[in-house]
Amino acid sequence: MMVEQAEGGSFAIVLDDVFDFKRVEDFRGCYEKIPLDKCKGVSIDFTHTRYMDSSALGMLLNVKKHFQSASVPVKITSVNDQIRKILTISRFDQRFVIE
Amino acid sequence: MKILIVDDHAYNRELLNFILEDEGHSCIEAQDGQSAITAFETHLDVQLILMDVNMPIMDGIEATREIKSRAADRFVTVIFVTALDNPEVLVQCLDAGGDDFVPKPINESILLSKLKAHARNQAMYNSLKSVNEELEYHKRLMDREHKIVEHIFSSDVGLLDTACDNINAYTSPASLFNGDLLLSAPSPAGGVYLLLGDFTGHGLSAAVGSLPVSSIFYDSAARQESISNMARVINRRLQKLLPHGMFFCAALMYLEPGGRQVQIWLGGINDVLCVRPGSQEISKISAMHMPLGIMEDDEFDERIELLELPEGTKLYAFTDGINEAKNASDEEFGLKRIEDIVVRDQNVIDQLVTEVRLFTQGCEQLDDVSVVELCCEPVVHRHQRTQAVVDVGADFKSAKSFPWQLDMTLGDDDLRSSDVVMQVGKFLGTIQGVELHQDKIFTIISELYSNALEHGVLKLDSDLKQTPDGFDEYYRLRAERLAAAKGQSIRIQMAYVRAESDGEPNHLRIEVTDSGEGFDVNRLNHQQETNDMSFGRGVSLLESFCESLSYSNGGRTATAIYAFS
Repeated sequence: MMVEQAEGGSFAIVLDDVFDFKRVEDFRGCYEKIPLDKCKGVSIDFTHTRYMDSSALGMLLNVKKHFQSASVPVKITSVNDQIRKILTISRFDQRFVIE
Repeated sequence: MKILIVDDHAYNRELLNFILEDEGHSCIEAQDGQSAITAFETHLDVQLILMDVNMPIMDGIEATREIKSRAADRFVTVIFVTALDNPEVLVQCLDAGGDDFVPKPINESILLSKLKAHARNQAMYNSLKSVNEELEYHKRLMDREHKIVEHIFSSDVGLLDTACDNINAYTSPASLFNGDLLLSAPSPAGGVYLLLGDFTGHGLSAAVGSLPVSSIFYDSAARQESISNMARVINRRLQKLLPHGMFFCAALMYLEPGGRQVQIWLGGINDVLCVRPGSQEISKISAMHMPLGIMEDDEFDERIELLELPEGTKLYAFTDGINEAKNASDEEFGLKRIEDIVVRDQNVIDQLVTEVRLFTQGCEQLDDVSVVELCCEPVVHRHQRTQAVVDVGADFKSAKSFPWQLDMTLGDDDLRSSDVVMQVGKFLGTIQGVELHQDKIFTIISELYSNALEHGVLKLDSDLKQTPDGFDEYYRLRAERLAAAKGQSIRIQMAYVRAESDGEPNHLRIEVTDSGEGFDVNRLNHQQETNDMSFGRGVSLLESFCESLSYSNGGRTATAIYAFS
């Protein structure tokens, strides 16, 4: 898991193969080191991720809440069909932009 | 280290004794196998035995076998002292439980090095043993605590004395500690409430939330409250209670006494499967909402869906323990298998549970398996013990009230209070004759009130809510405009209208008027039609609950008539 900085002040958190409850600390570490004052937008990149569990949904809520205080938009990118389904079942598509 | 020296030759014993005591070990001696066993049992601190092979009365091999079998959890090392010239004897020594050899004649430095090596093993064993004991202690403690919690949960869940024929369910005994929850309760009107849910996370922490949920569920059910109200109250409680990032995926359903109408609120749970009688096709009802415990109370969406279904229709809800159950090759049970069983089998619940068990055979048992079937037929409740049919709706049908009127005007500060509708609902719930109808009346008032507040007073456009950004924007605007509202009001008038003749139903008239600019009533009607089309099966809640619904006063006043029948 790592943080990539793109031009124009947007950041991407690139996830590993699996996104589950074991990654809680790692994930928080990632988004907390993004400077809130310099950040224009955050994307959670699922390009390499093939599996996610329901506790990961909780982590997504946490990251959204974290950036909401500074009005930084959070979006989810490059999800596979399986993960898109989990996001849809739990209606995360209501609260997140999924690209 | 305490060492037992076993040899029939006094000279050999003395030699070993001499070497070992010089090194700081303490020694005891035995001159044959039999007395070695006695010495081992009397001296409980013996940690190592130097054993000769050939001795009178009982040889070293036999004695070793005996000692090892009696050692239980005493850790004792047996080193045979023997000439290493006969492989067959060496094999016998090891088979009997021997740990090592030192060659005869004794070489002092080899003997001492071997003792050191075995002392290291001994130390490792001891530390392992104490860790094990600690683990064992904690396990016992946890088992005990689980038993206590299980007792509390089962007492809480077992409060009812009736069971409903329309519900078939399976939930595995251990599922509670994985956070699954399955509840049902009769409604005073004769219908049945059903809740199936799944807390995120694992273990006891996931299960604690089920206590407040079940108590809200039973309380609301006993008061004939609406599913939407129930969902809102549970959401509010869990949102306060659960740590951020933990939530409750749930299906809440209510089957009307007649068995043809189902109210349903789904948050973050698998699609509910719906099979009509004689049909091989499954229609799916997808979750419209996020799980419970996430949304702030003022952005919580309590809207339910209302289904009108032919008699004999069956609905299935299940937690993800079923579709995500894995077999030995890490393949998931999947939705396809579930759907196949649902259309194919008569005995869906049993078949499903059996097939999941077979599928996961040989793997670590995934126990959080919960599934429920709701049969849309006239609802029948039975006494748990006698199995006699109980008419739980007797009071409901004979509900009567005196002619009363209620008129309230809510000003700016009242509108800012998020639970004003809930208070009105509670108020109605205390009027005898009305209390058993409060679920529908509450739904009507809350729909009318939300429309009046959000579209009338605050002039919000619900199209905004279609996108995630718009969703946030909608609630941001709502909060902003509500905080700034000045000189605004909503008036709610209610009157109980007694029937003119016996046999006719009594009525409740509800009028909601807002201080907004009103709207084009035709446009609203048009919107409802298109909404219904896009969902295909939904019936407009208000229209279905009310005998009639009309708008007047330039769209500022909505009048609903509800029949007590």
